[in-house]
Amino acid sequence: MTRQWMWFALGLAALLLPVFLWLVQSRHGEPEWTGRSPEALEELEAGLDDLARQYWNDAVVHFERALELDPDMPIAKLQLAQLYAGDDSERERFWRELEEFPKDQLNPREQFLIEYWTHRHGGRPAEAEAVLERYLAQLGEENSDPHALSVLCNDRWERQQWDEAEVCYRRLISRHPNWVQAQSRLGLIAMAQGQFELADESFQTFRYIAPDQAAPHDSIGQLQAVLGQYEDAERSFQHALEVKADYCMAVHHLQRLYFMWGKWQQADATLRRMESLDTCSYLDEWGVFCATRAWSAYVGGDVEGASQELFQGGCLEKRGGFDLLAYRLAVLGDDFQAADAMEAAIEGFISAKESAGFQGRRSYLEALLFHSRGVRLYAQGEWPEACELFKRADGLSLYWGLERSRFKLFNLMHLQRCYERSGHPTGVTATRQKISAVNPKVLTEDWLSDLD
Amino acid sequence: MPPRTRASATNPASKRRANLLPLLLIFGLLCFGVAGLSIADMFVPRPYDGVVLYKIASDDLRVREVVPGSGADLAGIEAGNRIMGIGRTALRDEAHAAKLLSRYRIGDHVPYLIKADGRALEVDVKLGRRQIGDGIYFYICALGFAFFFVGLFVLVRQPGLLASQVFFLLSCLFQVFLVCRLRPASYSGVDSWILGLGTLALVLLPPAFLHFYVLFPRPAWIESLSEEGRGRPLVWLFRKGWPLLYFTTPVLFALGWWFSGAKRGERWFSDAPQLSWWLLGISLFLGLMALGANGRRLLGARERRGVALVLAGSVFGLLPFAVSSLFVGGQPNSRAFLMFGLIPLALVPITFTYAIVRFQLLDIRIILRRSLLYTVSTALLTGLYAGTIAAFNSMFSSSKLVSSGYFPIILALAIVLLFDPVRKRVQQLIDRSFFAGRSHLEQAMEDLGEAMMGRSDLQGAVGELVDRLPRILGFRFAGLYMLRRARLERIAGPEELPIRLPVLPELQRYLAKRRGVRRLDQMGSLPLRSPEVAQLVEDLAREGVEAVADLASRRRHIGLVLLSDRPGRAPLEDEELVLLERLLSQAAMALETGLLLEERTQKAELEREMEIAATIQAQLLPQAVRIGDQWTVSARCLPARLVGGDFFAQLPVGAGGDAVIYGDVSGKSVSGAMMMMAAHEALYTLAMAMEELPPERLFALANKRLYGLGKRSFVALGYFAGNGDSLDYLVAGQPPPLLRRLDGTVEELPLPEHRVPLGALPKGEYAPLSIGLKPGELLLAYSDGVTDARSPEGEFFGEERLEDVVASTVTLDPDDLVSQVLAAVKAFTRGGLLYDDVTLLAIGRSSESGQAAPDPEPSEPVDVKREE
Repeated sequence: MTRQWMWFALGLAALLLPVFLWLVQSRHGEPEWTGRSPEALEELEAGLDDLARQYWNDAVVHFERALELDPDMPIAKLQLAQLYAGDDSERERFWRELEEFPKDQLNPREQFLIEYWTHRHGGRPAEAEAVLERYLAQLGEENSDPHALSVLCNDRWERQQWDEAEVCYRRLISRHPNWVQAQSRLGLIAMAQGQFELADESFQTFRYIAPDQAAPHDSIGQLQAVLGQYEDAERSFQHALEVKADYCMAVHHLQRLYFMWGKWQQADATLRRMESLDTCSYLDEWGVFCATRAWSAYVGGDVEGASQELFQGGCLEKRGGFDLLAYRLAVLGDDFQAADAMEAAIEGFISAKESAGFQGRRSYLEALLFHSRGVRLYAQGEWPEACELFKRADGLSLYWGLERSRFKLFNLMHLQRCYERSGHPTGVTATRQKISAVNPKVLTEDWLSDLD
Repeated sequence: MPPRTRASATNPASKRRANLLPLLLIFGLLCFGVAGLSIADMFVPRPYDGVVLYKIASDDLRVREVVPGSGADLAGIEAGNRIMGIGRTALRDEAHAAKLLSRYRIGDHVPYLIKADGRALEVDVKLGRRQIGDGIYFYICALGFAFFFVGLFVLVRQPGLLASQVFFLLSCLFQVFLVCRLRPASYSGVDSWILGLGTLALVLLPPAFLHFYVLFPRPAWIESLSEEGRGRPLVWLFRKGWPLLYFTTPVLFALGWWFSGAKRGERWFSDAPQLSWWLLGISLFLGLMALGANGRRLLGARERRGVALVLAGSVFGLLPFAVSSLFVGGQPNSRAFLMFGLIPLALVPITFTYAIVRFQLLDIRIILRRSLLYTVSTALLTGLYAGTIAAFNSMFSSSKLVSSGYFPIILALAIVLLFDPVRKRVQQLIDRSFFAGRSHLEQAMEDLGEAMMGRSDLQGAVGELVDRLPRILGFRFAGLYMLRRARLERIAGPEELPIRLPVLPELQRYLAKRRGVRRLDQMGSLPLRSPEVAQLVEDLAREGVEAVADLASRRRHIGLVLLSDRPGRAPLEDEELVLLERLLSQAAMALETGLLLEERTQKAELEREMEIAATIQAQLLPQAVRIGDQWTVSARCLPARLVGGDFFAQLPVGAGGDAVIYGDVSGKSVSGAMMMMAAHEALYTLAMAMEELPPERLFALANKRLYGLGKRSFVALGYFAGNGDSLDYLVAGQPPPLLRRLDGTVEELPLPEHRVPLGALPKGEYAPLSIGLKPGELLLAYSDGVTDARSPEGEFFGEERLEDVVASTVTLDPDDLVSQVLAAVKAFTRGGLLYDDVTLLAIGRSSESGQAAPDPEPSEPVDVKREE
């Protein structure tokens, strides 16, 4: 009798064990990403890693390779669709395929990401928000999925809800201290709001946790450049390039630094270096190279050359129909029709951003618009009105990275000159103090003699 | 002496305190364990950066201090810097830091991200081995453990006293506070636990301090309030409501924590709300006030001095600590805090320990070995000398004197001349400070012992013991029981004690084996094994007896000493016990001497009495017996002891005649003599009262009388009366008399049928007989003592030998016959003691001259007298 019970117990264990293992496996063994090929998953992970490092081109290479190994890999498609790799039709194909992908073959995180981004891509921000909230609710208060949190934080960031974004990124860091994007964004948020010490702290932390990445050095360099620490900024950008020689953002920022610094030769050389890098090819598509050449010509006194660079050869078209220097030249040349056209172009961008529901660059575009109109009124001698527009532009602009910070300071210089012209000494003093508090070296630059 | 209700375990307060004791000990063990583990943890080899942290917010970790020489110190990390990242990972919180560090090993280089002077910097830190901390923390731990052991010592000595229990609690809390709260913290997760426990101790310290000082050394202040009917809430709080006290401060602490809120960094000190430090300071202040109030109300000068000392130690030790916690800026382990707060703290255990040793506070007596103190003082003095010499050498090393050859000689002389006098002075100081009381006690006990030994009388020795011992050692009374007539009788002591105690061999063996004073509650299992002992213990305990001691000399067990409790004093210390036992040994000797003296006196008196009795008895026997003109009677009576039971007498028998009786009372010595007197008087009185009483009637009446005495003694009697040429005789119980005829033959006299001794039976029938004697014939009547006489070899003299003696004599003189028989008996016994009294009665027929018939051969004349 005892033997029979023993065999019964063994048989029962043999039946229950696989069930138990399956349950354990199903609870803890879920793969992070859906894929049929381990090699494809490796490429995907590598691409995501490059993405975190902001090595966009490398990331695209890995994602494409992942798709070669596993043509149906959904997340690879999603990343490629977002990075605008390939041509538009291919990108649209990716989005379509993502919408049609059977959801039951995806894990909850993938379902969420795909659903969220397809709504975003389709211009359905409310639905995207709803998907996000649903997924977060599903994860609960103590969720530690960095991807979900990252989406949430980026969402708030894009909406320019800085306080919420900061809280979100800090929450992300508290769970994943080494989530580099969060550190970087915190630095940017702080910098944007003029909290440079805090920005430095975040960027230093960024560099500390990812010393082998170029982005943190570049971020620090941008901050240093904005604050007028040109030598330190130069070292930081070069350090970034030592980490990754073809890191386009560092090259670009270095070129901008030399321009701010007045080192024209180095600026030109760096521009040529930019033009030679494959990783910077997207800048050419955006008309950055031709615009930079135009600025170089302009500061060298070659107004004609600058105009040719911008208005002929399709540079303005690459720039989306608006360029700060082009508008300035149009105003100086009394080509108000061109100026109006550029205003209309930028207004069109603003509307598009508005309908997309994200601030994104909207504020910056508005700032550009107000600044430009201010330049126009300044040139026409309507200084009080110009000052008002420059002031509004200042209110809409942030110290967001080197480019926009440079614009903000540039705009402040116009405001200061405008106050001088309109006999507003208090405004002059206040504006000078504002500039001086950030980068006193800017005060020595002379950008408005052409308008005067 | 007033009856005393002895405190027993049935007292509810005592029972509660007794119930708390195991909990207290467990608590103490836990505190000791936590403190010990806290220190042990610091020896666990962990990679350590040398940073002591404190937390402003969960993600804002600041450097409190940097261990000198550590990796952090060498990397340039300073106090106030913020640690932002360790090992290329941004820091989340303290626990995260510990986890990050745990990935590395000792000797690894780890990149740290710190914020200093508003700038974020990366530094390289080499991890070292975790260090125990510096000398400051070592000192703190030593203080903490000193507190604990003092508290434990007090509790062990006085477990039932509430003040000692609270003091132990206080000591444990203080230990945990010092060792755990002031521990240099680092990243380890263990630190959070330990610091938390230290904070908990900090929270509970204020009520513990207050509670203790109100009770120490006795709650005299509270008692006076209670007696005066004032301050009822206070009285209630410190008598019954003290648990409430211990709940109040945690609540206040929690409120302080809650309200400090956002300003946590500002309103906190050593990671605890400032409110908790204020509570500590206020409690100390109030406690010291209570201590002062207690001290003023104490009756004993010694206790008051002790309390004053503790008060001074607390004021100068604790208040600086509290004040510096509140007002000294900087970190808790700063130099200022050390100098003004921690170093003076050592005064507290020092003064408290000294107060206990010197003034026996809390009724604790410590026996300090004088030799140990002498050794320590000598060692310290030697060290001082050595230090002085070294200092002198160093100060004057360049002087001519030091380099001179005479210097060592001068130095040696100085040491020799000064060392010993200084050492003696120091030892005198020690004696005056620590041993004054003990030497008084020793002297007093010595005096008492001498006084007892000097008394030769028993009562004197008893009085010295029972009167003076309680005064010396503080007993309420002492009682003495001595063994008399197989009972323990109370010789001295209060009347409430039983007059007699049962003699219990088990108890006696138990006490004799242990040789000393035993407390009634420390009899071990003896009461369980013997219900009689248990009953006795209970009875004695009820009367206030606390200890018993056996008194015994080498010869015998003398008795018991009962000792009461000692009101207001601790149980006997070991050295007191030794002195007491020594004294009781002397008492035993003195009592033994007294007893011997008493016995000797009694013996001498008895002997004197016996001699008087023998004289009286001898005087009762007639010098000469006459029973008629034709009869010659010789009678001798030889008692086996000083007095005996044999007798002979001459009784009047009427018509002017007399008879001779000879009797042998059963029993010897005094009892026999008393019976002999009774029989003699009974017979003589009857004979005198009733004239012409026939012998059988005399015997019957005497028998009745003697039987009525109820002593179950009987008298063997013989009676002879002359009747012409014959002798009328009656023999009851005596051996048959012998008759020597003229031809030399010896025959036994025929005896009557009924010859039971008198007094043996309620009724006797006695029939007299008659025998004729011719001149020259001798009748010899004797008591059985003659035939029962034994030789040294144990042989009886016997009837045969007697007959032979009678037959071998040729004398016709009864007196001579008696003498010869006596001589033969003496020769036989060879001078040894007679087994029984010997009575000989010889009767002969006188010649016509009334003289005894002349001997065939002349013999020496024999007086009719009683042999002595």
